[in-house]
Parts: sequence; C-alpha cells; structure tokens
Amino acid sequence: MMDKNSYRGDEDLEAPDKLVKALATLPKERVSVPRHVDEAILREAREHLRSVGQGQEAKPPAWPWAEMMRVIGDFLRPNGPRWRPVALWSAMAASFVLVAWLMYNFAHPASSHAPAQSVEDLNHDGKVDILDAFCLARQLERGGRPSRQLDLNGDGVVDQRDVAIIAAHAVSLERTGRL
Amino acid sequence: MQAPVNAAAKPDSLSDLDLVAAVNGGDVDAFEVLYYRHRDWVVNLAFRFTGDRDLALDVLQETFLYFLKKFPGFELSANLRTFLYPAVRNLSIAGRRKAARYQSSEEEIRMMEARTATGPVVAEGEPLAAALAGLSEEHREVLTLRFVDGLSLAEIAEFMEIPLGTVKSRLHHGLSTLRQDPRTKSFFEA
Repeated sequence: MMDKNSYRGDEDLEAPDKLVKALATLPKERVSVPRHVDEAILREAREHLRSVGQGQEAKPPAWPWAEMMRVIGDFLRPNGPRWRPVALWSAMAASFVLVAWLMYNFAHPASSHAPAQSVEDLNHDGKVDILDAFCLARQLERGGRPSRQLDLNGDGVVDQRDVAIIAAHAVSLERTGRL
Repeated sequence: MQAPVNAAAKPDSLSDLDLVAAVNGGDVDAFEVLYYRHRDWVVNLAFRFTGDRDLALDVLQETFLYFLKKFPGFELSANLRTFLYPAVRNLSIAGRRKAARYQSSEEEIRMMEARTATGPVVAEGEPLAAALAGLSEEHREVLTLRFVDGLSLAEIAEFMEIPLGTVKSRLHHGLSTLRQDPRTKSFFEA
C-alpha cells in the first residue's frame, strides 16, 4: 500500500552524507552477550552437527532388546489408541498360559498318566518307563513266561527284541510325554 | 559458478556461503565463525525490536537454534542476514507478546502492540534521535536498515517481507518527514 506522498524517483531515496553520518553515530544501547549464552548455543551446535558429520539422524538401538522395549513403549504410549494396552496385555497373558502349560508338561510327562492297565506297565506303577524294560528283561533271564501281549514286535516270541521295544518306548515317552 | 572452498583458508576469511557449505558437512568450527560474525548484529537487532536485554538474549538463542536446525541441507541464496532478519523479527514479536502476557491483560497487550517499538536511545538534546522516535516503527526500521545497517532496497524488501515498492515508499516518507522536521532539516541543507 503506497503512502500519500509517493516518491517521484530514486533520487528522493538518497540521504545527505551529513544525515548518514549522524545516523551512524547516534548513541545506541548495545547488548553484550554473556559467555554462558555463547557456550549454550555452541554446545547445541556441537551436539547437532556431530550427528550431521557422522551422516546419521538418529542413533541405532544398542541391540535388539532395546529396540523391542522401544517398540513396546511406543505401543503403550498414553496417546496411542485405547485398544493397544488391552491387546498387548491379552497377548502377554496368552503367552504366559502357553509357557505355563509347556513347563507343566515338561515337569509331568504324559507317561505318568498312562493308564495302569497298559500291557507294557510291567511293574504296575502307572507308567511305562525303563523300569518296565528291566522288568521284562529280568523275567526272561529267570526263564519266566511273560504274557503274549508283550510280543510287541509280533514275531511270535517274547524276547530281548521286545525288551528293546519297551526301552525305546520309555525313552520316547520321556521325551514327548506320549506313546 | 561457486568457487571451491579452500580447505587451507582460515575460517574467518571464508565467506558466509563457504562457511554454510562447511556446516552442511558437519563442521562445528564453521558454525562457530558464523555465530560470532553475526551474533552482535542479531542481539542488537533483537534489542531494537524488544527493548529488553533479557528478551534480546532469548531471541539470540532462539534465532541461532532455529538456524542450526536447518542443517544439513541449508541453502544460502543471499546474505545470511537476509535469512536471519525475519527470524529475529518474528521471534522478537513473539517474545514481546509472551512477556507481556505475564504482566498485562489482553487490553494492555493490544495497546502495547499499537505503540511503536523502541527507537534509538533519545539522549537529552539529541534532535535527530527525537525526530526518529517520532516516526512509526515501519518507517524508522526502513531508514535504519538502509542508512545504519547499509542494506540495499532489495535486501530490505526481503528482510521485511514486503514489496520493493513499499520499501521505497516508506523510505521516501521517512526522509520527507525528517526534511520537514525543524530539528533535522539542517541535515538536508547544503
């Protein structure tokens, strides 16, 4: 927006030398900058430009766990969607149940729950394990007549081969808890 | 075509353009040179706008932090002060408003903003200073930038983010007022 007295040419925009000198020598209140202000600014500059010089904007995580915790932290941030904490806690609860179930089955293999009437449970302790293989082996060694049901390989006789089968089953049960 | 930066040259002798290029590469020393080269100009300009020492120092810090965050990738197309001036001005205005809020009601803030910002210190018996203080902030600022800071008209337009024609008009008005003022008309006489 032009003022009322519009200039007529650039000659109207020049100031006499006397005026320019007078303006330059006008008393001016100057502000002196304290040292701590300089240091604060330059400290910020060093921090910021260090990362510029290294060609990186953000530091990488130290190791994956730090990144995981950061992600979890971001996930649980108060400004995030309301459903996030519920979903995370649900996932954590499900993980806990799974771990508990695995630990329980490891501590209590399924063999301990094998039915007592299992033919291989020779010592009737409610589970089929290596002791049953020893039991059959002892019977055979003493010349006993084990039950025909112990002909586990179906060759018509109950012998050391059937002992081996029981022993193998016992190891398999210990590993998987299942026959 | 820009001349290559002479790595052996002392930082103080390098142009703002060369120093900015160095800062873009992470050179802290180059930033330090730029800081000290323009520091006093920035803080005194801020004082001109705010009239308060502490506010001026705050504006100084905020201005250079604002400048720092432009790196890497800052492109200097003109005088560095052309870039800094609007930042100082806007930060000063914001600082003035913020300071006023702690002390004044909204009505008082409006009245304060309607008043002209500080002019040169009006010493007893200093007619030129008194005459300048009587100008509006816009006219006084253009005169000061032109004849005290030595900026060209185009630079002033860029600084103040106004058209060149407006700069010329305000400058003409300011000089015309001083020419007609009894306290300062002697400067225009041969």
